[in-house]
Amino acid sequence: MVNQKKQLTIRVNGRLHSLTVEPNRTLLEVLREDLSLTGAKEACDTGGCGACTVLVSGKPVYSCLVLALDCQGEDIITIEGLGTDDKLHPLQEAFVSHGAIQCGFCTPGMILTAKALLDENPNPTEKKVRAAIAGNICRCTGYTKIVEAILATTGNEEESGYGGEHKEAQ
Amino acid sequence: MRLPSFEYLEPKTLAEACSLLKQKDTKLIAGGTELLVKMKQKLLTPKTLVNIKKIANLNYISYKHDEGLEIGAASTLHSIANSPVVRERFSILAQAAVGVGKPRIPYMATIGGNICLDSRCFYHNQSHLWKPRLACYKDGGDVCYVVKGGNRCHALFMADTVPAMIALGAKVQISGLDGEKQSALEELYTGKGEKPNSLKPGQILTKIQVTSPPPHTGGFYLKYSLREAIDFAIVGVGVVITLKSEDGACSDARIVLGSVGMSPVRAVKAEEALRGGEIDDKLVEIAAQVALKEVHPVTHMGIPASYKRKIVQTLTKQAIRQAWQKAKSA
Repeated sequence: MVNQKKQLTIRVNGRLHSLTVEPNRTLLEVLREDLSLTGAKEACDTGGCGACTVLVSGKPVYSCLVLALDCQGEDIITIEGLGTDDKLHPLQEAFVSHGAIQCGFCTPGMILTAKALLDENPNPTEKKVRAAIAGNICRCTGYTKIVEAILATTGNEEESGYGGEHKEAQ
Repeated sequence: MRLPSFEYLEPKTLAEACSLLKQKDTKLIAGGTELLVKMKQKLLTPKTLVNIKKIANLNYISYKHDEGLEIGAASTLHSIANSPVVRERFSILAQAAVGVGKPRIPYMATIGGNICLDSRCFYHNQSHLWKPRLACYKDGGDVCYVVKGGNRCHALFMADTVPAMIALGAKVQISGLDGEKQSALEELYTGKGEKPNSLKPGQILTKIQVTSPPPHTGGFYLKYSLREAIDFAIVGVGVVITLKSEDGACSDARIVLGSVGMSPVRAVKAEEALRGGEIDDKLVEIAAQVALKEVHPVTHMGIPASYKRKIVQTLTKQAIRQAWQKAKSA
């Protein structure tokens, strides 16, 4: 039967959810509409901007191009799963303190991409950071502060060559 | 953009999948990174999607020294690009795979999907709201918006891994209800923009095989695109060179170009120019010039034909040089 709803069990930010969804729902739609996790954004909706990035079993994916039903049994992390109301995740702290957020639309995707990078490589060079976030487009910041913020969490701020200036500005 | 409604089936066997795919308005979905975009644009509205990721033995990479490399068609590009044996012995394929929609698409997309990638064109790959009123050749009409008054479809074949695999002499296995057949990868392509590959409904690409290259063989894939990430290639070149000995003459060369035509183009005359010769900068220059004569790019997707020709020449030169260096140290 066309578009018959099917059972879907996924773990999102550590909590198990049991849903019934139609086949034509993407993971992005289900996260935003069924679970009210609106951190992941719909921008290009065609896998080219990264605003919809979430982590599926540790891998950053474009959730706008993943069918929700394809995530049966998977472990998903959205931006809401990082940090708490009282204590931000180190990446979130760094983005705030480095001025890496302007409109904030790309930020959830950027932070999750950075988290995936640092989980695999805790000491990336600036080049590797830029390569990792190359799938996340930012219209506001010009990426400089974003790269600084990510490197700051590794303790490698000097790597970017910007660290000295930032400290002096304070 | 909402996906249109469809029935979602997840067969456990190849036979079941082939049988389902013979039905009308039914499409295969693996990674979905091409299909779902086209469905959102309402270019494709299948009533049924057949997910092949639950079928056993389609997602693996295996290597036997005397037989070579075997890859299941549902293997992700990421797993191929990061496979130690691919990186060590078939590095041209790892180079090509990592660049497809990098950095994120390789986590989601499969090599089978890249092989079966539909041809692309600014005028075709748009949502139905954007499109001009008269349908182009690729959309079933009789107009081409790329070449005014043109009598054929000029949609380009832009997959990255295909030139690399054709340069490696790859073979593919195709399963259907009437059994399995093997064919050279390059024979899959029709040269027609409307339908770039010859797969029929009910057929599924299942595996790719590459025999171990002889000693003193090196390969290199270069991709030129507007941005360093995300984009399809403006020109892609895969070159595999075999030398008679470490510093010897060239005994075999395969040069394959992507994004320059409606199918991948093997620059056979350029290959001949290299074969038997002692490779040096002069010969590389000559081979690149010969390769340029074998392609006929048109001004397409914002790139003037004259610029595309320059890129073909430069990229071919660089790829031959790099493959040659790798062959010398192999």
